[in-house]
Amino acid sequence: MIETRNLTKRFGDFTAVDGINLAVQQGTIHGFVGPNGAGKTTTMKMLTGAIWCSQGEGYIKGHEIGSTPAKQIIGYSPEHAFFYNDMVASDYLSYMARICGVERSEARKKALDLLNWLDLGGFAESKVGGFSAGMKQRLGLAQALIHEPELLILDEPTANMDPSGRISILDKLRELSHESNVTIFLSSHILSELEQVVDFMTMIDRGRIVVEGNMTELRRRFSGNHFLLKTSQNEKILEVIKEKGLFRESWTDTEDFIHMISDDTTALRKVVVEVVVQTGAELEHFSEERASLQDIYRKTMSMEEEE
Amino acid sequence: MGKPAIVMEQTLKELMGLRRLVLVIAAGLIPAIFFGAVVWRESFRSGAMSLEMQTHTFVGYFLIFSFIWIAGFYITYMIITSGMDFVSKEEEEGTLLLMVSKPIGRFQFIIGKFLALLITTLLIELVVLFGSILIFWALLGLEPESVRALVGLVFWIFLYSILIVILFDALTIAISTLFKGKVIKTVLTMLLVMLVFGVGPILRMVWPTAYENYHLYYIDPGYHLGNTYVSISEQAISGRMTPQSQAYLGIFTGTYKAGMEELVLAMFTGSSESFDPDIRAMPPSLEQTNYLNPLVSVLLCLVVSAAALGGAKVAIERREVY
Repeated sequence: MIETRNLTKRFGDFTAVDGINLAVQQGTIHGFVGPNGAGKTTTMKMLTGAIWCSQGEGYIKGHEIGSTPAKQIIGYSPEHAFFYNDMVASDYLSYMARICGVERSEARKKALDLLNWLDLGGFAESKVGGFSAGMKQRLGLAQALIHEPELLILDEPTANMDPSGRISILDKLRELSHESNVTIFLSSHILSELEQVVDFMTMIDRGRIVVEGNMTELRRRFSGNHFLLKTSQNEKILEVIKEKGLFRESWTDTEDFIHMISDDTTALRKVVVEVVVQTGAELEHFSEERASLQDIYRKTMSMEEEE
Repeated sequence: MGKPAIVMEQTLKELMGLRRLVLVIAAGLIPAIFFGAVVWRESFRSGAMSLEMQTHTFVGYFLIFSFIWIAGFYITYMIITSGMDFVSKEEEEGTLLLMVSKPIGRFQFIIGKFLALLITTLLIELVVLFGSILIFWALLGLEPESVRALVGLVFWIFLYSILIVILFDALTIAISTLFKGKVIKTVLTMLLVMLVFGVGPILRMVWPTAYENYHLYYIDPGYHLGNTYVSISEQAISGRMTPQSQAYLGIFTGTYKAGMEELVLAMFTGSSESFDPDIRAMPPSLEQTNYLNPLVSVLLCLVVSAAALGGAKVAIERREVY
């Protein structure tokens, strides 16, 4: 759905986005994460055609970024959306719908449906200027969705929202992705929330992609081959595995879980099963520890700093 | 419905707000009230002049009044104040960011705004034209024949107004797109108005020979507008200018051979003392300068308008919106 090659943006001597190659697959929810000033918003603005790239190229479903056919596919909600404050919400959305090619008769119906869906139905005839920051954020999402785009580009869609508002928006994004097959490319600083919805993730720092991939792979990659084991005979089993030299580090935590960091995960899995069977111990728990998005972020950024 | 038409419709709604309309139209009618109630009251007192004299004199007054005020300063002021912030305000307030992410060409957006301003200005001008006639009728007690003569001018003045609205609308949109700072936009606008209405008269007064010898009328926007106005108003049955009007127009635009001498003569001796053999009422008509065919002037105005819109197109399409 999104493909960029060597996408670069320079502001004078400063390179905000440094030759990134993005690949966002259709129907996925793709997180775009990075510290402040990493180049997320600049990248998103290049994808929506608000600013031009200094070098490289980008395509939205095969259409060049910034072109009208590309923009027809996109629904974009910036982090700080600004509206025509004197317009009422339903009129504003109808106007945006018609700009996107929705017929006049359909536009108002769509506007009202969307406002209801985003829990703004009671404010359809209220002037946008009087909306709270959270309501404006929802309206921003509504205007992005008004023409039923195939791709949503959302810059911090839950910023300025209270926790219940954030949960509700994330639920709706999941619903859009699963039921309408909408591709969602979104950035957020609230990693624990983002983790709940994203299938793929791209991490960016100082304008360069530092990590990317699907979440399952990334979790595995960043778990550090970290296994958790709990049996009825922890000490005995740990001794046998230690003898086979299958982990480089191990410890037992306060809840009696054995933590093992292994370099040969396949062999470790096999040996654990064999040893448990041989010793006749009762297996209570055996799993590979999954890295959270926060872990991935922390590790990646510290590696970047070291570099 | 095309996308520019959607932007146009929305902008029309903003420009046609009742409060704004009332204020703008009232402002347009104030000079008519002032001239009708104060300046021209004495000249048109009942019985002071014949009906024919009254009609021709007032047609002349009205043509100058319309050129300088209704289709001149008023219309340009209205366009400048409404259109100057069309693009820059959207950018300052952040609404342009969402607009440029929508599937509408940036120039289509500009054209929608351009058309809305064009339509609004022309509609308001029409109201002010008819409103001014009504005010003059009521305040000066004009005879029906004189009023009919004035109404007969409206179409032609309106036709000329289309040109000046296109020109200023395009220039204003271009300034709004090309420049962001309020100060620079205001200075540019003032310079523009000065260039159109002020440079010609100053040049002709200070350096009369150079104006003709070096063909400076080519670069005098006031001349082109005056040249067009004279040509268009002559098409009206009642559109013949009195020597006074010709003198004023000559001073302002260079379309008639008129210097200060002619103006003073026309102002102080030209009302009921002298008679034109053609119409048996007025002093002799002034000679037209005829520097250029009016069609050339119209074309030049349209070329400048197109160039301004072209500049706006290039600027908006290269603009990075944050």
